[in-house]
Amino acid sequence: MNNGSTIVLTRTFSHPPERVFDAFSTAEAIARWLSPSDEIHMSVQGFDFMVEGSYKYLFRVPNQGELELTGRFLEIDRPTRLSFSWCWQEPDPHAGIDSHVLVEFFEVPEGTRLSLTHTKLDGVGMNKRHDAGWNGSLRRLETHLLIHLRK
Amino acid sequence: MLHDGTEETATTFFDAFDSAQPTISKHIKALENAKLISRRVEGRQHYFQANPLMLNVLSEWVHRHQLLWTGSLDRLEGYLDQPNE
Repeated sequence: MNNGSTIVLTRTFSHPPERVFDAFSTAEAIARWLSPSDEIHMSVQGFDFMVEGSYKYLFRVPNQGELELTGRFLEIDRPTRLSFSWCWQEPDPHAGIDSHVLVEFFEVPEGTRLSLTHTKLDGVGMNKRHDAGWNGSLRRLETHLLIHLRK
Repeated sequence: MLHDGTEETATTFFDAFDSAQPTISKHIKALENAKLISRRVEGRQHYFQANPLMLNVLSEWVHRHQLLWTGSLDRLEGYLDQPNE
């Protein structure tokens, strides 16, 4: 996948997949944990948990004000798979970068292994995602260009 | 390429990559739209320069989300472990 623009995290929880999945599926639950730290309070402004349904979260960051995040649920397959779009809003420095989050839930003897993949599909401005010319080799080329630019 | 604030022409990109010119041009345009590089036109020649500020924003993006998700998954663990949930 795209070098440097994809995050993959795995974590094992001692709870069954249904329970871990459900922590993502209601506004009440997600507001309890989706935040980088206890100091940053997140409130759910909208949460329509259905395919194509949208969500809106507000993060209150001490000394920095509020940051708004919006997205849409793209795949909901309880308890194995969930994906949604993820986009910060102005005046966030990363506003408008339309990224994608995939969460997979695997049943393991210990409980659930969660795998989270956050891809920044359009992070370098390829906003015409469905352009016919936009394929794997183009993506590699773009990564290559960026690596050169960073040096 | 384009490091140290140097300027390059599109030809440099065409020579560096084994892809068709329209493909390269398309990517240059995309990088320009994303403000990762800037273009200066002098006569018929186009010069490109990297925008270090935007490149930093890009790498920061990944770091920021790494922190956000790591922290969130820690908190999710705590949330799930609460006996009354």
